[in-house]
Amino acid sequence: MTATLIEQPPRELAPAGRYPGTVLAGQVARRAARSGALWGLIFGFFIVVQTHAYISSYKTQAARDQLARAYGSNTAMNALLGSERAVNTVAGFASWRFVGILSVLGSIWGLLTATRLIRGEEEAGRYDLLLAGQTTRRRAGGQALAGLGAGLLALFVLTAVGAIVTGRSPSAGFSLGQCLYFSVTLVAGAPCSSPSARWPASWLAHAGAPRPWPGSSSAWRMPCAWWPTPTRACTG
Amino acid sequence: MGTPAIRTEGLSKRYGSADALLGLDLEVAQGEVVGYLGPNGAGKTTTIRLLLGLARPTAGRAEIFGLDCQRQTVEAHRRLAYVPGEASLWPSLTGFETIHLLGRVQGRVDTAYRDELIERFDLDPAKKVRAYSKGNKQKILLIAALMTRPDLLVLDEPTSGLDPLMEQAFRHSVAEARDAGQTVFLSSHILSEVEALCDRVGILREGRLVEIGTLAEMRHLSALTVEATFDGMPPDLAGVAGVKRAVVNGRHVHLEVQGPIEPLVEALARTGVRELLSREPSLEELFLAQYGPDGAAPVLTGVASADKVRS
Repeated sequence: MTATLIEQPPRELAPAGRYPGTVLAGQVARRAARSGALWGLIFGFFIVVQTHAYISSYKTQAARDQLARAYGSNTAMNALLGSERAVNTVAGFASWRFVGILSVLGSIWGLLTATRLIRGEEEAGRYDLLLAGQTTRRRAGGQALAGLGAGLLALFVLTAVGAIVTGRSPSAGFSLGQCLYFSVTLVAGAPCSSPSARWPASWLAHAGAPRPWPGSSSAWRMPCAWWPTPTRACTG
Repeated sequence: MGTPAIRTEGLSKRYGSADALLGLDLEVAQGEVVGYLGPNGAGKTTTIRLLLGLARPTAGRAEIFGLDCQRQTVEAHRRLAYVPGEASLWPSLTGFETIHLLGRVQGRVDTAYRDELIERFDLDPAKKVRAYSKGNKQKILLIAALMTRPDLLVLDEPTSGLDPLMEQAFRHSVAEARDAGQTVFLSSHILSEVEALCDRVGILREGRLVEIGTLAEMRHLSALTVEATFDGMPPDLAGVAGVKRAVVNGRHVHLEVQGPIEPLVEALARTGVRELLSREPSLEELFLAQYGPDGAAPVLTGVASADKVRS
């Protein structure tokens, strides 16, 4: 046996990166943010285009009232997007239409992104390489959640940009606060449906006084179930 | 002797009703190169996952340089580098980006040595990982582990997919690491590699460490192989003291002798023996002896050292 005993390595090694313990968070964040930004662009674009289409197609209040009556009696649309509420206003239309569609897409995005970036990477065996670094399983779990948070933030920011651009139109007239809250509700489904966020979401839901709002199909997708729906916030 | 590089006490891991590892007591001194052998499912990778803190033991404990693998994982990981057998990398990164990423995971890199290793392993780091063959991906993992010059290298079948030239480069790198005082824990199926590199060898069987020691020690405990060719029909040598097994094949006899060889030599001297060849068992034979029926050595008539046994 040739053994040269060493307690501390005497070699000159260059530091590689400032925080070796956060590499996993960076890896997940980069990929989640890229995906979140792409979907955020789609969400924002959809909000701008659809809202402007509503404004230009239904210019008078009478036309909007007629639309509200038509949708109010449409059982299929109500089943799909939730009961219409104040569809004869721009804000009401926006929250009814976008919460119904985009929050479902956001939930699916959250589910797929979290599964791909956490379970998929683990299954592929790539996480072992990162877990063999200066981290622990628990810290790595926290880092993965933080990374997913970055993706959610990207999704939220670009969705909010679309909402704010739309809200600046005199016909829409949403305040900044309304736009931000509206955007939060659109992307809130993502952390709720991502498997990694199940625990904090369910913990939060049980920590307060859960009171699902029965009138909206999106109530179950809210981060804490008992959150008020955006329709109320936007339409007062 | 300082703190052992690796120490396990009664380390066990159970998956459901299956025991993957049973009461492993292992000590690896600093600067040692230890080979860890066993067929698929013997518990080699489970041991490594427990050492890395990637799995929680059912019983027992493991330490790396005196640091508890479960409670002081980060401190322990600072002193080791790991090469998995399955080269699963990020397909969208280039080879160099992957090496850089894995360097960041470890936190420190000997950049000059990294460049030397890239050259030694003949790797084109500009290519995307998805364009690499299995062997090239394995080279990336080896370079990434070696370039950090860790105190402990944990290698889990590190040369799967490497061609013979690259295996030589790997052996050279491990020898360099040993000369630099680094400890190497090498789990492998390639017995010639273990025989060439390791100071000590441990053999796992169904989750239990059945044998550990230097090759010389293990050979001493095992049977000596004697091949004898006679002019006429061979005599009956099965009853000679020390002869564990005698297989007659025409005028040729294959004998396995445990203990002193003198009684056999005396018996052979009285017969018309034309050729006599005696040799120590190879690592392959020692290994196969552990896995023969009821642990008994199977009949071996091959050359002294077969190169590879892959299960």
